[in-house]
This record gives sequence, structure tokens and C-alpha cells, in this order.
Amino acid sequence: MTTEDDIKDPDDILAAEYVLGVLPHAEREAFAARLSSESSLQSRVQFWEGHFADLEEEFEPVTPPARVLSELEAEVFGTTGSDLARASGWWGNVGFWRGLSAISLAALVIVAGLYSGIISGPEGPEAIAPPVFVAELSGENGDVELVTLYDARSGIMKVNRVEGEPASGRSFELWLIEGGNDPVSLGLVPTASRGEVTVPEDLRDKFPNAIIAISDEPAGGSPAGQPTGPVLATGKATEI
Amino acid sequence: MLLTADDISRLIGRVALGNREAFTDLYSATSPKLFGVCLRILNNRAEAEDALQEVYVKIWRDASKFAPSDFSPMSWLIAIARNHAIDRIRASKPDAVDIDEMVDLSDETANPEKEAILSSDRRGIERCLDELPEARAVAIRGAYLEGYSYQELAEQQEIPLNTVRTWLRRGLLKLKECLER
Repeated sequence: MTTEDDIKDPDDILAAEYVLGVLPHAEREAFAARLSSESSLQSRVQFWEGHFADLEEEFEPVTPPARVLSELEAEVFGTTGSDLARASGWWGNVGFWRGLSAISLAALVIVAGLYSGIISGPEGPEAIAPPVFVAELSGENGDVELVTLYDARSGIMKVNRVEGEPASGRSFELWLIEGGNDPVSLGLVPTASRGEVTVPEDLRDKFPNAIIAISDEPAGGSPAGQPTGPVLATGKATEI
Repeated sequence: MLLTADDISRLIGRVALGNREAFTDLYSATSPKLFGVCLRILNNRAEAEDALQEVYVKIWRDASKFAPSDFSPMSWLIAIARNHAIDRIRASKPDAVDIDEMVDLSDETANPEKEAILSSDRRGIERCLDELPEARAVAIRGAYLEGYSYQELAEQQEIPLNTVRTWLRRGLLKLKECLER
């Protein structure tokens, strides 16, 4: 039942107009600003959105052109890599990584402690943390140094470029080499100094005993499926 | 890719944790629908493509705000796309004239005859739109699906701009009354 009070309730009708989208620009913005802080408005908006959602079947799907996704990934992953790194504390600390790079694998014990604390903390001591692999990649003359950290739970490899960057028009490409097999591409090293790579599903069980390497490739990566440029740095994936 | 609502909720959950693969999967599964929404409202391919990209940036940032209990995940995503497309169109074409503020919304006669012949199994909003005077139902539907402004509704319905808001608000009040029954 609608009571007399409801009918006189200007916020409710405003919520309906907002959800419908008919409000003029300035009023729409003003309403949106209030909406973020007023929970009573939020529930009114939810009422209308919930009901109008029944009309959404009438929107016909249309496949967007592929360039939207590539631009989107460049925008989202290109800019948020460093934000995520900043947010995650020690991972984003260049000094930490430079130090780690210098004192090498001995420090990974510390990382192991920190990292397992982060990932298994909320689940209690019984939880068995899925394997995490760290690799410290370095070249002969120290021009290029990277540290990668692969979390088998998420399939995400964090990549921290400590030293060196690709020349203009070139990309660094990450490779996984298992035993005597040919290198398999893990994707491009993110352009930001700290970023992430999603490891392809079929490579996720290859980390024990793997070597991680980077090579210098044409922009966008090797066209051949194998490294075409010089291998700049390699490192062994070590479970921590 | 056909995913269930639960699959999409889970993807949104993983996107909230910053999982890029989940984000790409979510995009693959849902972008045709959201592109359809942007296209319909913006009526311009280039604009709709830009809007779609902005919508997914928003989804990437706001995924943690998704509460599965409040919404179907698709409705949540569609609401983001619709809101964004409408923001864009309202910002680019501000209403030229001030439109009326709420005046007397006193009752209009209902249409009991029409109400009686409606089948009861139609979904809430459809059933309740059917109860409205037809022009108002058309206007509300057009506003939702095409993103029409008050100015456009006034032109289409041949109603003076200074009364179209009151006219539509009456419809919305009736709609609410019916939806709450």
C-alpha cells in the first residue's frame, strides 16, 4: 500500500527519476552525490533498479570490436599495476627488492615468512598455503634484473623490474623453461616497473624446477613463439 | 561464453581481488550485453565503444562494492553501464529549458477494466506498466531502454515541456503503488 506520506515523499520520486535516467544533468549529479552517503536513498534506488531490471532483457547483446578490450587492458592493467604494488607494501618497495637482489636467495626465507603470513593468515594455521615460487632474474652484466613471484593459488605472477628497461620499440618477454624443453612464453613483462602477468593455465604446474627468463623482443613480443632476441636475464623458480 | 549468475558473481569477486584473468573472462562473458546497453542509449557506435571501456574501468575499480544479495550480477553490471551511458548523454546534451518542479500529483482515475483483464503471471514491472495509461507506459519504457530525457519525452508525447515532469511523475507514483501491491 502506498500511504499519503509516500506520495509526498520527494526523495522517492527522485530515486525513480534517477534510476529511469530522466533527471537533467545537474540534478542527476546532485542526486548521485547524495546517494553515495545516504543509505535511505540507496534502498529507494535499489527498489526501482530491482524492478526495472526486469526490462533489461530487451537490450540486445552486440559484440563490441576487439580493440575495446585491448585498449581497456592497456588502461586498467597499465595504470593499476603500480597502484596495486603501492598498496601491497613490501612488494612495492623498490629498496626492498634492490636489497633482496643484492643479498640474493638468502633473503627469500624472509619473503617466505612475510608472504605466507599474508596469504594464509585469515584461514588459520591448518590451511596449507598453495605453492609460491620466487625467481630472481639477472644477466651477465647486471643491466637487467627482475624478481618474479608466482602464486599458484591465483595463477598470477608478480613481476618487479629492478634494473633495465626495453629500448624504444622493443618489449621484454617472459619465458618459462622446464628441464630440456623449449621456452614457453609467459607473456610480456609489464611496462610499469611493477606489474603482473597471468600465467596461462597449461603452464601452471610447470614451476617446480623451471627456469624463468626474459628476452629482448620486438614491441608486442616474439612473432615466432620462441625467443628471437638475446636472453637478457635468467633465474631459477624457487618454491618458498 | 554462457555463464550462470553464480559464475558471474564469482568472477566479480575475483575481479575485486585484482585478478586480471577473471576481469578478462568477465569482459568476454558480459561485454556484448553491456555494449548493447551503451549502443541503445547513446545511439552512436564510437561513443558506445568509449563508454563501454569506461564502464569496465569502473567495474574493475568498483567490483568490491558488488553485494550478491542485493542484485543479480548481470543487473548490477547493466545498471553500471546504463548509468554511465545516461551520465554521458545528459552531460553532452544538457536540457535547454528548466522543467517543472513537482506540482500537485493528485490522483487520476485508475483503469480498473484494463487491470482486470491482465494475466497475473506477468512480471511486476510489465504488469504494472500495463496498468498505466498507455502513453505514460511508453514514456517510462522509452526512458529506461533508450535513455530519453524529459525534453525528448515532451517532444514525443507532444506535451509541453513545463508539464512533462509532473505527467511522468504521476506515472511513476502509480507504478510504485502497483509494484508494492
